[in-house]
Amino acid sequence: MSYNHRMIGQKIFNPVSPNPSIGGMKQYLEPPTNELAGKTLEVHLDGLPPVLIRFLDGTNLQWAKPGEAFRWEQYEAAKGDENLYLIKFLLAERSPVTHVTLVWDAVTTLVTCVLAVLGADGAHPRLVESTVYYGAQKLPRQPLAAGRHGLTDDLVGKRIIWRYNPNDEIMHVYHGSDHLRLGDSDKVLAPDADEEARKHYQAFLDREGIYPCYEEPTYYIKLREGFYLYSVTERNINRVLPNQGGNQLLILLNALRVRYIGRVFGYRGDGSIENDFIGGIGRFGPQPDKVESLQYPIYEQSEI
Amino acid sequence: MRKPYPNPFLAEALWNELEQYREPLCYDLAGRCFQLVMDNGVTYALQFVSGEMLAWGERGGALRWDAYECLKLDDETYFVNWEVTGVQPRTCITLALDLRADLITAVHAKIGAIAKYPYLVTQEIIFGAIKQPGKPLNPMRHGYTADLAGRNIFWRYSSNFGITHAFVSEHYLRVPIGQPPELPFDATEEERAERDAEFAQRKAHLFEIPAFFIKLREDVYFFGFIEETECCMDPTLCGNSLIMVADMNRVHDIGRCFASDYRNHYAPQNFLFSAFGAFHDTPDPIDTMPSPYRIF
Repeated sequence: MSYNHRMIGQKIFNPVSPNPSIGGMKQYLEPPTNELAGKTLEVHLDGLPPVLIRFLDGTNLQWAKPGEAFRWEQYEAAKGDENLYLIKFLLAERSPVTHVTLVWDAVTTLVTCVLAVLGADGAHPRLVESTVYYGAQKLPRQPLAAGRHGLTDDLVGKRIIWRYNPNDEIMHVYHGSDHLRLGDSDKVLAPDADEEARKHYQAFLDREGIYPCYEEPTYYIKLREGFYLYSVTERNINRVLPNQGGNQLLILLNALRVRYIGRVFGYRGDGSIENDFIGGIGRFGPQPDKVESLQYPIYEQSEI
Repeated sequence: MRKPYPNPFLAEALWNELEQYREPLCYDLAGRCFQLVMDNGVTYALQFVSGEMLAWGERGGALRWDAYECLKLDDETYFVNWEVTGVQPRTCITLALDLRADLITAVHAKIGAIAKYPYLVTQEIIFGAIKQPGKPLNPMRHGYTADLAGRNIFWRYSSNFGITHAFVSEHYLRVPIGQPPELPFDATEEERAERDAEFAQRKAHLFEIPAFFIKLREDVYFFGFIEETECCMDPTLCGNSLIMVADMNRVHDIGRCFASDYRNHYAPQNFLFSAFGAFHDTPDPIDTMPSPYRIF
């Protein structure tokens, strides 16, 4: 098994656990952190009113703008490094469905917020639209940090092969400053694939004629040396195949240890809202993949 | 230290080959206190003063401070490790803290306790329970298990290092002969020669060491081993100790290595790691090889 030979629906061999291995992109995911419980975070994002967030425990928070009542949300947080947090929650009372992701560097006090909305584009109801806000944490009796996380091309021209479970690898090719491609892969349906895996495989087949290479819009944000946040939105696939894609993947990359934690926001195949952490371990791909020599962009807006 | 897999963001290796995939250290326990009632007859207080410091001691005695590190397997299972400051022989305490069952299993390990083998780790496993206010002590204990006997797991520790643990019985672990490890595409001739020599050594010399396997709950195991066999044959080698707590559904473990580095003037080592694995049943010559070291 390697990233360019993927067996779709292959059961994970596990002779010890009484339950099937969790598989997918969550098998190697680290557990969420509870260490924000009891902390308060005053966030000043450029161009927006300040927000005070109180983390009540490991899963509940309250937030408010100045002069407003606190609103209660359920959150999850994970760590990209000892003091670098990825915090995510849905705004319960907001329509269309709105998702908040905060990256909080407790060392530099810098904060980046990705506000993502599902269904804002009536013509493409599955498509997630996101906006990035930069800012910082306000500490008592200290000025707001002047620096900001910022867009970067550091990753462009590099590639990482991500492993998510014993059976699956995917290569992220950081092909350009505004897009990402997946490494080329042959996909074979496993002989023991279940019905869900067969549908998944069929979706790959449906794409291949009209979507020969996975190329999606991306932005890359540098958090600190060796740490990045990047977004991948399944915009092209959703416009080619309106019943597929549209989700946004946000990845907090530790390029030093070659690990990531990320969150997926969008619709699952069954129509429910997906708001999950995922994670993987990786290695840098030393040699160019064949998708890297393909023209750019593959998907002109006029074509789709 | 093995050459790191090519990483354009690292000019040199920051970690050894076991440490790269380690998860961020966990500070969840900061501020929490536990009363540990251990089966050696001693009750301990354990106070996590911060994410990095703890205070601990026997009931009725003074507490002492030490620096600790913690990793989290899941919301109810923490792996805590510290070396007792300023004590000779070097002493390391490792805890599997099970907050679902309010149970604890501790490993008290030393390096240098046996004069003949100055770099051999010796360790004692102590079971116990966590006293929670208003609740009786859990009378159960984590227990030894044969669940993993006969299983093989290939563990990945870093971009360029992985190893299979063959749990040949509930008491011993072997490393299969397998295939020579892959090297980065730009490995030098010297590195390839070193790899080939190591592989030849592996084929000629069965790696078999004593191990323990303890079950915390379904899917969650605490296990470890000491590299004792080679150390007892050649005391200049190190008998290092690795202990892990693993989720065998995810095939993921977190652990610690308490060691001396014989390649670096026996420098003290004590570090945490994470590994990500895959069960396999690939046949290997070690499966049927009689032990040249033990009768079993």
